[in-house]
Amino acid sequence: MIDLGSSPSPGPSPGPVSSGDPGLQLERTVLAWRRTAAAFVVAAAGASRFLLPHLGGWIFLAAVASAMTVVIVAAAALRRRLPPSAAPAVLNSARPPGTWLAAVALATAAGGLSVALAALAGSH
Amino acid sequence: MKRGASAPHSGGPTSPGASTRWPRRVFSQGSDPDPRFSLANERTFLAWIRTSLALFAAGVALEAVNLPIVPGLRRAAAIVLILLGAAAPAQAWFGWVRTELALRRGRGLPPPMMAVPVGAGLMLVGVLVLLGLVL
Repeated sequence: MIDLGSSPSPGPSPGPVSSGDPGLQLERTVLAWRRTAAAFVVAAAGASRFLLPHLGGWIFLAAVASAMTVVIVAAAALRRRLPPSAAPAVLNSARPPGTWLAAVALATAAGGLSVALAALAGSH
Repeated sequence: MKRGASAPHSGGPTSPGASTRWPRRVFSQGSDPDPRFSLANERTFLAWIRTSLALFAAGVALEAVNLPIVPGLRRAAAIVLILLGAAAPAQAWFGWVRTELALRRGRGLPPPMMAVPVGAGLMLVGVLVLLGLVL
């Protein structure tokens, strides 16, 4: 992740910068996707750490749902990537992945709700 | 931000393939905004997704970890957190759609609908947990 900082060349030289954008919008968006995906991995690991000892029907469903959520978010995160540094300015590639955003929103709601309901059902 | 002031609209007013992008009710309207604004909109979406994750995690943790809180109040706080966590992805998606539409039409940006409910709900959770600890 550290090599991200090297792709936009510092200074005003309009070299093969990833976007030519001093705001580094594309880089920030890529990093936002990555930390979102990392947060989901951590959350799923924590949920399985706490809930899997009480393995039951609900918990199994919740585990499957949260695993699918992690996969969907990771796949969506992998779609947003930096252009190769040799490419010319293509901020044009900011094509909004509408379907992926909808999938991520749905997966978050489904995975979170299933884990939450399992936790509510498990602790009386 | 000076929307549409300096940066040229990449790909012209209506980029090719605009009609094939989903959701069509967004991309059939207006013209492509500065890509930086779309990227910022996407990051706002992701921030709401992470907010949802944090709210769910807090609700589940409240139930899964044994805390010296009155069970009824603890459960009520967990349910409020889980409801907020379920509402946040809806805000993420519909907020993204509404903002993208506003950007494409060059209108003012919509306010975040869920900001006040999430704030009020978190305050309620704080009060419930505090009461549960004291009582």
